[in-house]
Amino acid sequence: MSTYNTIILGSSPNALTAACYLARSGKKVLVLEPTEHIGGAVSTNQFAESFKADTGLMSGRLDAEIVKDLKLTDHGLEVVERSALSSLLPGGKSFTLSCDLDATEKVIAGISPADAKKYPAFMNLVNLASNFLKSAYSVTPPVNHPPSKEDVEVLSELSAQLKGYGRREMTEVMRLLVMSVRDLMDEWFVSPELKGLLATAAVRGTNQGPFAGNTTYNLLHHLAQGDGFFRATAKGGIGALCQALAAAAKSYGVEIRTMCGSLSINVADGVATGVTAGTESIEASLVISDYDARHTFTHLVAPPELEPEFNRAVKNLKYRGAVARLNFALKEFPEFAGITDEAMKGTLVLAPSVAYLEKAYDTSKRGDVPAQPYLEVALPTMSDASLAPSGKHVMSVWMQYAPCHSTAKTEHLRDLVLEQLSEFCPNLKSLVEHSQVFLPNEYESQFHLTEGNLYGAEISLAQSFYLRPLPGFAQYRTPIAQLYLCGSATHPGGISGLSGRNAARELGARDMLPA
Amino acid sequence: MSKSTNNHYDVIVIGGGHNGLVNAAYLGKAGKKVLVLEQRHTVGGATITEEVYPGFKFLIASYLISLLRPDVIQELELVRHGLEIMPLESTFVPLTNGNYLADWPDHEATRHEIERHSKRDAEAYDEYARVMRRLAIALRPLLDMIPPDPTSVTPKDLETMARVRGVLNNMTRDDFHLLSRLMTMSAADFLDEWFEGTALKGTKCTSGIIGTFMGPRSPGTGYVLLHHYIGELDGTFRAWGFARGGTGALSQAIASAAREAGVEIKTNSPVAHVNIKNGEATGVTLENGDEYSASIVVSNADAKRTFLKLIEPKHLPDDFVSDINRFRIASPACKVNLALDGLPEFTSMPKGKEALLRGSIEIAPSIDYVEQAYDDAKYGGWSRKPFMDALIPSLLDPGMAPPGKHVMSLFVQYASSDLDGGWNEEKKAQFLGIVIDTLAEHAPNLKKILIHKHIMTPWDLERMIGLTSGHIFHGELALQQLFFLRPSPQWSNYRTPIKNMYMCGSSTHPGGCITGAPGRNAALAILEDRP
Repeated sequence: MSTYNTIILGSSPNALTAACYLARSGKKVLVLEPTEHIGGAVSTNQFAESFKADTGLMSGRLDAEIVKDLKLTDHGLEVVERSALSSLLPGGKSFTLSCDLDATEKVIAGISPADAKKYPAFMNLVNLASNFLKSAYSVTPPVNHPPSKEDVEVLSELSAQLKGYGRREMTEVMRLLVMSVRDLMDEWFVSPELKGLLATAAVRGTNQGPFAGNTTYNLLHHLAQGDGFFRATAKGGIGALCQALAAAAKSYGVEIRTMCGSLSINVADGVATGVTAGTESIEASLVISDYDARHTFTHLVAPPELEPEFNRAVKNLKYRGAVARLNFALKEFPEFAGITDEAMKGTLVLAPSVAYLEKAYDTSKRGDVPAQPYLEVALPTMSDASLAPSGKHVMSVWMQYAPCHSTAKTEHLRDLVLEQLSEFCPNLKSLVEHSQVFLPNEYESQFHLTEGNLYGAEISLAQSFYLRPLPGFAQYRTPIAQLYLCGSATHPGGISGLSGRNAARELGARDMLPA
Repeated sequence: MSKSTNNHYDVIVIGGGHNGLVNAAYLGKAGKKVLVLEQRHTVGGATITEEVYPGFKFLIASYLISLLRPDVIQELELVRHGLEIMPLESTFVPLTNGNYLADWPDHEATRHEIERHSKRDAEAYDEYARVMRRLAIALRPLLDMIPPDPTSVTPKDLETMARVRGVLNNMTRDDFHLLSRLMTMSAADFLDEWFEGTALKGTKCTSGIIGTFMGPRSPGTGYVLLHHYIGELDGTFRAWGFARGGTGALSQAIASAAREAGVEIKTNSPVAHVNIKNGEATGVTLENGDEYSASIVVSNADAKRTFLKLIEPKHLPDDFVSDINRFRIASPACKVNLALDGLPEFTSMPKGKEALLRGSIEIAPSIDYVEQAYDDAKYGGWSRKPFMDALIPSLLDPGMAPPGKHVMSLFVQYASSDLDGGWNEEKKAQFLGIVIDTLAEHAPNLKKILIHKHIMTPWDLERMIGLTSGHIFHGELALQQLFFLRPSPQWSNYRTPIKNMYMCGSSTHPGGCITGAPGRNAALAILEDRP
């Protein structure tokens, strides 16, 4: 029997970030990953002979402070920007936005001169709002109500930032948080095509449509994580984020075990005392779960250990995974009509209007897969040839909606996606050598992501800030002493590492760059 | 040619809707010389009772009194002025499988009824009622408050902000968390957390979508649910129910209180525009050219009509005009009234329980039904099977119909104000047909006893009463346009960018329903400025 100071269950970027900070503060940390891949679903794996692709999320960015603080560049992290965002339109047409504001204005002017004029101010406003969120995301939400003196300090600092934007901007930002993205788009733009494209980030990963209230929050959330319109990944794929973090963790003395066997948390008299991994029982004075709250409190810990009230709150959490992920091994470069090579390095989106997205959701909310889905496509081999044999390519597709309890078959999804994309790349079907499809239920069974939600719980205003992961438990603590949460299920959620960093700070990690 | 009247007023109120009348009555009582100008032949705006067919009195717009502020009833002595509110004793929900669900004010009776559908729900129901009551009580003080501007540092705004914080800080942490969730959740998600019964959730979710162009699965409808629950809460003061004589009788009672306070009311006096000189409101000009001057002008019309039609944009700051332009006001609500030669016979009505006809009758058998009704309408269409909240006023007040005959009032959603291709008489008739067919599925004798039918679509509510897009709440109760954001950030305190010009309609806090709160709050704001 071995003894560790701290055991972390799961190895997502949040788990590894927490591991790094805690180990750096002198804890003896063990990270346990039941699958063969560090990162769990946040990994890039071989899915066909010499073809590698992301398993879960196909984009994401670590928080810049974490990258700097943990010297992740030294540990092999090489960020790949996807600085183009293309919209695939009916009839094989398209247009491409980029980080270059002037160029993008010109592109939009081709669709709607009025929209082009408004675009810079729009980006400015959403950036103000997402910068505000970024600040809120770097701190632990207040614990008390009414707020204690310490809570008031945290809140005052945030409200000072908001006030610093100016009176008008302050209320504009507050409005954004609660608006439907349909309303937001209607307020700013007239072009259905532009509105559809920009609205996608507001429904990405959720089983909600753009007409629903508060969806703009989801858009701002992704922007705050650096994963909004213009996305990023890493050389080697999304799994490389975890590889770099794992390398840093090891340099701080963290031990990482993959294929550790199935996990459970040992609890005695309301105190976590360690972990059972497979047949091995490992003691620890501190146990941290990177898993979502439902999995943690129904599978890793026996529910009888918890109060009925708490169990009810866990049961009420919303997951509703609605994303299917598809990876294709292509024998040649897929020629998308009108899309430049530069644009192929970015993200291609099929969502020609806000109503298109809403109609796709209409089918999904009744439990079925829409015939006209919302798609995002990336060709990671454009920036990293090592992911496929020479001259060949990997195409990753994000598909919504595939509601978690639908009975759709993988073949149906694969054919549907290829059919939809063939309008823009007519010979696509003939290029496919292999394919891989993940449905929400597979994420649940293989990676313990409840209902296949890739973000640890639905990203929504009702499950954010002091309500995430559960009302009353936003400080990374749980009703079980010495058991903490650090995953995407906790504030703020996502794979930027901020959840893990905040959790580590709550656990007394030192030597952090100031939040 | 315009002709000036010699009369100068302290205050002119544009529009004699219930809020305009409340506003005028308060200002009259404070000693102001007040003139109310109403475009139609009668006061009330959307709070009217009309004898569309001889002997049959129809509730062609609003139909129930649910959120009327107790302060307004007492301070204006509306009971003395003839207001009599009769509580609705029950709700009856006919289901498609021949079953039904009912509730009564008697908690135990309702519990037993819910138990018939689900034992678990019956247990949860008590706790649900307690929790909703607590949240409604906690939030209620905000309704009667002039919203603060959170960006302002004036002592008054800081003090009001402190009061708002006080309201929230008075709650327990658990309640505060629950409130935060309810405000940001969908009505459907919230109800799913409590109940399992399809019918119970169907009827409960309708409070989250009344007058709202959202489906019960849309986040934001949780707030609307609570908004209406505050109304049920105030029912304990007997302020919830049906006004004898219809909602028009309420307007007449307020008008009577106003006249007693010296207010002059002119009907058939549509205002063409507000007169503005050097950025100050100086009076109004009627469509017939008559001019009236006043030190203060108050508009009871909705924000879009006020600032985009009655005032030229050149008098307003650009930001404000854009705020008003973006104010969301698309409406899904219709009113249908039927004149009947007898009572509808619902196939699912249990023998011996016919008294249920005296209450609300709701066609909302499940959340899915209501959501589908929304989906049918949200792209510019209408529900193939609409949600309806029905009432037979003649059972409560026999004066509403000739002897032996009845009137039935149906609040119907959804039919888009932005109907594809626009509304016309033919489309009105088509949708009216759908409403009657849907109701007849539950009450097969309906078509046999039908004498007259009448529909008010959003198009009619706009043409006849002047509600932009026919929106019964003068703008969606969406979170981004509530409290200090209603109708525009920085202008939520009933004041406007034009000096001496105020708003008192439902486009202002706390929004729609027959509350009287905007009218009263606006009067308080005016009296703060001009004691």
